[in-house]
Amino acid sequence: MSRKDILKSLEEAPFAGPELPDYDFRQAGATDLLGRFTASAKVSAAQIVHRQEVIALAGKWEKVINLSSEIAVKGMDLSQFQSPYELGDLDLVILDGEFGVAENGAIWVASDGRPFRVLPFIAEHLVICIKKENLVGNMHDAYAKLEREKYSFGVFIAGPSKTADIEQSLVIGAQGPRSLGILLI
Amino acid sequence: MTHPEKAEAFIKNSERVDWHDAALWHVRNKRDKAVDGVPEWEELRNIASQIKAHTLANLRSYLIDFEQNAMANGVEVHWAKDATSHNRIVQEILERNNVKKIVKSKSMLTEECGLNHFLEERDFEVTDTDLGERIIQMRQEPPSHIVLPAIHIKKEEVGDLFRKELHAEPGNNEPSYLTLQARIHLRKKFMECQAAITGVNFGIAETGEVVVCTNEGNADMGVHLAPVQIHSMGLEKLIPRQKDLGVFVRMLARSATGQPITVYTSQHKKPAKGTEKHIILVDNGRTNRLTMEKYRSALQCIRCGACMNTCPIYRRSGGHSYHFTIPGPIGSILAPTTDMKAHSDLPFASTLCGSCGDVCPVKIDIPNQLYRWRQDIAEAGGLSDGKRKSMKAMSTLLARPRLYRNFGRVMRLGLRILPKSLITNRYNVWTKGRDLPTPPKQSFKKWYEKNHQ
Ligand code: SF4
Repeated sequence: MSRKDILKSLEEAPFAGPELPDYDFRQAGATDLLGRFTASAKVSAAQIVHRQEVIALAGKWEKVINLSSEIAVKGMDLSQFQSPYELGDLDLVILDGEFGVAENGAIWVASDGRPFRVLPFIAEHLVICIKKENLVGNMHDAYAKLEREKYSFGVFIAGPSKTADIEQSLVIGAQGPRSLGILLI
Repeated sequence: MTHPEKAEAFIKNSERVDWHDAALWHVRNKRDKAVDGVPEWEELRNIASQIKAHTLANLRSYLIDFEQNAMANGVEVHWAKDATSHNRIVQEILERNNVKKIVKSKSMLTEECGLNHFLEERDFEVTDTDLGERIIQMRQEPPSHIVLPAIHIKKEEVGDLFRKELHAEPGNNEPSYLTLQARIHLRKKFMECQAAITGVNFGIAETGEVVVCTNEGNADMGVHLAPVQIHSMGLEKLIPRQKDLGVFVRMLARSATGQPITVYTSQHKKPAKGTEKHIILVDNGRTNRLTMEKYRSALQCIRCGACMNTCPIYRRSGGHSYHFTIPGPIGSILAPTTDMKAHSDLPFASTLCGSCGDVCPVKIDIPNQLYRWRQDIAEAGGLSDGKRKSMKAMSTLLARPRLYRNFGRVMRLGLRILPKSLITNRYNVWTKGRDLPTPPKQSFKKWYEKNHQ
C-alpha cells in the first residue's frame, strides 16, 4: 500500500517550515493594458487581426469551425463530428477567449460549454476573439479572476505553437496551430 | 564511468564544446533579459522559496487535501512509493482499457522511473511527442537537459536521423523543414493514440487540478484526444493555492527560456465526458530526501533548467556526462541523496562559482549543498585516491606558513624553467585540456609588502 507508506513516512519525520506567505503583486489601476497586451502578443508571435482579415481567412479555408459569438463567419456544423479524432484536418478554428494578460499576451480559454477540448490545439490556424475591456495586468490579476470562476479545463494560450528543439532555432508551428490571430473587440 | 571520464569523450571535439557552450549561454542571456523586465523578481524568488518550503513541511496534509479535491473532480488518484509501483499502476490502467498505443509528453519523472523501457518491454507502443524528446527517443538516448532534451544534437544529425526514420529529403537540414516532418509524423501518432501520459509542473492542493506547461501543444493534443489520461506527478510538485500559480507561472518560463510564459499553461481539473483521468503521486525517494535536513531544500526545484544553462561545467561537459536523470548543478545535489557512493563524483563537477544559486528562481542554495556533499563524501571515505592524497598534501601545506612560502618559491621557479613535458604529464590531471598560467616572478605576499606599506 503505497499511500499508507508515503503518509506514514511523512508523519514519522516532521519538521518545521515557514508560514505560507501572503503577498499581493496585482497591478491595481494599471494603465495602457491594451498597448501592453498588444506588444506582448506580438512578442509571442501572435498577430493582431481585424474583423475583415478573419472573414477573409475563413473564406480562404475549407474546413472552418466558428464557435465565436463575436464574429459572423459561416463554418462547419460541429454536431456532425462524433469524436475528436475526426478533427485532425481542420484548417481554422475561431473561438472566444475569456480574458487576456498584458504582461505576457496570454489569453485564458476555458473548455466549458463547448464540445471537444482539443479544438484550440488541433487546427492549422486559430483565431481567438477577446473584448478589450477584458484585459488584466499580470498573472496575479489573472488568478484573482480565476478564483471566482469554475472550469473543468482551461488554458492560457500565448501565441502559436512553437519549438526551438533543433539547435535553438525558433520554429513556429510545432504540434499545435501554426498561426494565432487575436481579434480585439 | 565518472563525470570526468564521461566528460573527456565530450570535450574531445572542441568545436562542439564551444557550440554547446554558446547555445546554452544564449539561453542564459534570454533569461536575464526576461528577468530584468520584472522589477519584483527578487521578492518573487523569496516568496516562491517560502511557499515551497512551507508546502514541504506540511506535505502530508496538502497531499490529503489534493487527493480529496482531485477525487471530487472525478479524477482517480494513485500513490506510488517507487518507480516500479508507478510503472505497474500505468500498466494496469492501460491494460484495463485495452490500450496499446500511447503518446507521451515531456516528463522527467517518467524518465526517472524508466517508464518507456518498462512499457516497450511489455509490447506497448510509446511515442514521445515533444520534438526534442522524439529526437532522442529515435536515437535511443536519454535527454541531456531537462528543458532542452536535444540541446547536444546538431541539425545535420537530426537531418540524418529523420532521413533514416521519416524518409525526409536528402540534404535538407533546415530546422523549419525538419520540424514540419516531425509534425506530420507525430500527427499520425496522435490520431492513433489510445492513452496520453504527461508530467506535471504544478499540482494545486486547494483545487485538485494539475498544471502542465508546454510550448509545442503536444501535451494537449494527446490529453484531449485520448479517452484515457495519466498525469504522473512527483510529490514535490504540490503547491497550496491556485493563487500561488501567479508566482510560479511568472517565474518558470522566464527562468527556463526567457519567455514571459510558455505558449500553453494547461490547467486540468475534471475529465471530459466519456473519458477517464488519472493522477499518480510518486515518491521514489522523495520522502527519504525530506528527512535529510541539509539537502531537503533541493525538493523545491521547479525544473526550469536555469542552473544548467549558467553552469560553466555543464555547458562544457554536456548533460550526458552526469550519470543521473537530472544533470547539472541540481542533479549533482539530488543524485547523492539516492546513492551517495554511486554519485560521489558529481558534487565535484562544479567550480563552486555560485552562479546556479543566483539564477535559481526558488533560491535553492545549490553551491552550499555541493560543498556540504563534498565534506560528507570525504568523511565517508568516498574520495578518489588521487583526490584524497592531494587534499591531504594541500592541508599539510596550508597549515605550515613557512613550508607554504618555500613551496611557492620553488613552484614559481619550477613552472618557468622546467620543460613542459615534465609538468603536463599523465599524473597531473589538472593539465588535461588546460595549460597552467605563467607564474608571476614574486608571490602575492611580496607584492603586497612592496605596494601597500
Ligand atoms: S535548481 Fe533552481 S535553477 Fe535549477 S532547475 Fe531547479 S528551480 Fe531551476
